[in-house]
Amino acid sequence: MPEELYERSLILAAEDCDPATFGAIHRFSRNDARIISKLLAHGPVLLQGGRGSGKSALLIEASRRLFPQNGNATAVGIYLSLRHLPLLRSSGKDYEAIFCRRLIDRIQEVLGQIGLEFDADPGVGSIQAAIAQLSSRLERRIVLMFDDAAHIGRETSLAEFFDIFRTLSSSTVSCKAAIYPGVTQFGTRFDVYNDATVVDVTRNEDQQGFDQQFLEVIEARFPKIKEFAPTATTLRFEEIAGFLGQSVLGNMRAFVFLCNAIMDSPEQSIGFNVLGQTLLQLTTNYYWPLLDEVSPKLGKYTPMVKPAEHIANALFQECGVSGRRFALVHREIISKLAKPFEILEYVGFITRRDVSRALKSGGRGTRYALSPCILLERLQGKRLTSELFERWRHDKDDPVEFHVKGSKLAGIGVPEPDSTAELAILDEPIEKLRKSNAYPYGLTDHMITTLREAGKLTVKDLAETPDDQLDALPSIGPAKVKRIQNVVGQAVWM
Amino acid sequence: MPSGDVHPLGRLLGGNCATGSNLSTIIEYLANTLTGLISQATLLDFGGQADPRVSILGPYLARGILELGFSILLARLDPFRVLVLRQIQQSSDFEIEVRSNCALQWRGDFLADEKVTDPWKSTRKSKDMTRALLGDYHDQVFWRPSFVNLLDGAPPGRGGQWLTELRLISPEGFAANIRSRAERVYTACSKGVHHEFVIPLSAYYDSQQVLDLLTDVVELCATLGIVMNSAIHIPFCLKTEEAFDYFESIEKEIEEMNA
Repeated sequence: MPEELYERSLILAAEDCDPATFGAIHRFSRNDARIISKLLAHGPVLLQGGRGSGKSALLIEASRRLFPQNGNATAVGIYLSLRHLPLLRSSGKDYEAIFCRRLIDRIQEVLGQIGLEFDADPGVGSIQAAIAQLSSRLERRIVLMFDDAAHIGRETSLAEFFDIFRTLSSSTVSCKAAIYPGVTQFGTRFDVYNDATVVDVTRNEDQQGFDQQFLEVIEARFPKIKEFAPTATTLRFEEIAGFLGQSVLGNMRAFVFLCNAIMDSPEQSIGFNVLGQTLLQLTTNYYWPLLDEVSPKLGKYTPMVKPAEHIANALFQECGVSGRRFALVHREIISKLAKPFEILEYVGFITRRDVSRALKSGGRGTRYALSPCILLERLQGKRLTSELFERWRHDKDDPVEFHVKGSKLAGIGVPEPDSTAELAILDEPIEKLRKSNAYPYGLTDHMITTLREAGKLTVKDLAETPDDQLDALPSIGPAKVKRIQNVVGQAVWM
Repeated sequence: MPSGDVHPLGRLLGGNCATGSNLSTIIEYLANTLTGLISQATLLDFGGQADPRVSILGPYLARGILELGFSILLARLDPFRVLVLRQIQQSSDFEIEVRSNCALQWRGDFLADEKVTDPWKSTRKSKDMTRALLGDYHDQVFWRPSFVNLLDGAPPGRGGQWLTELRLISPEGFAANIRSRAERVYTACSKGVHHEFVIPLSAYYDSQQVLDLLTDVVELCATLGIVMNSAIHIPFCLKTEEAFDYFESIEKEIEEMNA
């Protein structure tokens, strides 16, 4: 495979993507276009979605359509990733100072590209005034887009973040931020329903253009897959692309993994057998390891991973008996097991389709779509047949119901969050980041040896090392520095 | 006016109101006015070059659509309010140059003056029970059960992206969600209607922003319209399929405007 295509297939996070290639490998559906419109317009927006749902790509795309990247735009777009370890480890005034410094640097960087200057003292009040002045000077409103604002395992700094979010907003300055669905701590000054529009980033097969979007992603990033001959003559490629998108519940990150697995398939063709084998491969190499990968970044919620695993086993076991893709869980169970369910949504095992739906057995509950990858693993024979393909593509099966009494979920308990727990990932040895299924862009053995010799023993050591120090290490150049940044970013933030 | 000339949003909000009653006359009039405003909005040029009408007229049209849409909904939910208003406006006592205290108000008729913390207290007097369209009483006695009816009764595959997103809201949170969105968009439009800005208007009401405001007001009205048509005791409800036809055609038109 040409080097460029190989690189494209490995890029997992939009924020790691080279701006020059971003447009070439990202595709947006009609529904995405609606979300981008919201991001371009004035007004506070919180973009909510699980890991790999495409929040960063939407924010970056919106900023690309604004000034200065688009000279005709009537608003200025500033995209800022908050993936920065000191931010994660600070709170109160320290957090505010670090945040402001980064924002000033970023605005200077963006405006510097067109020869404009910007300066402010690193305090929220002075930045707010300086940005308002900038808006007046440019006769354009300003849109600030904060990516990775809310870390799933660390909520202490969120009150500060949302305070800043609110303070910076004005009649000509609007803030947008990407958050995870489990974020609930917005501080005392921020009312999430009154102070922002919450937009869910969801993709499901019922949306118009769903199949087409995944087909376009394949064409842009994995053109070789289109050369694989379908073994079943009835299979159209757009339908295959849609099925693959459906198999990962519309999650772009998992879709990239899925396509990589197909590329590596020895058969170099596409049929029910290859699709089925790939889905099973993803279950073993991606989905289940993801729970282990996520666990050390959950902080106080780490104890919730075990119950989440129990829930997953119960859901997929029960639904696997009949191959039904939907589960309807009574709201009392959801209320008791809210956090573990959120974790399962975050890692892409399940996705919510209805918050409130009537159970045949009485009461109301939440309907989830289950990952067909994991479901296939629980089916008798574990084979994807043409009949199953058709059923999953077109039939709307009744969901399997999980009632308060008698269901396998009813007996699952939830431990208390461990409020003293810190982010364990930071203390993990750097070997954790070795190139693997979980970290396909991870560190090579040679890089690990070099880093260890330089005294970089833990993920925290690596995250705290400035780029120029990494660059100065033997056999580590700018490309490897970027690779290290990316893998640390994935390990700590994603 | 033949019903075919009324915009689908007017049809969805007003329902089958062609009965010749005073109430249906009011609703038809409001639906026709709404149609006029939407027609004007579709004439604005949101593409490329700056159309000065966008920043000057856009906020006015968006607010007008929102107010008229909510007025139609209120007329069906609480006919007393608009029938009384009609009588007053027809009386010889009514003078156009004198401020009318009984006119429909954003705060009071559509959104409640204040939150009711304990709505079911037995000592509460009826005059203290807000009848605002999105107030706490209508939230509990009307919107929640109607929203549940919609969720349970929507035909499979109907409703498009708007319904997909509505399915992610709980019945308990539906009215609060609509209320906060309505309040935000109304305030954003009002600043343009009253010319509050002393900074260049076009910096705030650019094409993208005005298009977003129009999208929001139409989506809000259509959402309440489809929910109202799922209610049990409301007059003029459309058949489910017909309501969804209008709902989807409105969504499609908005999507095309945004494309």
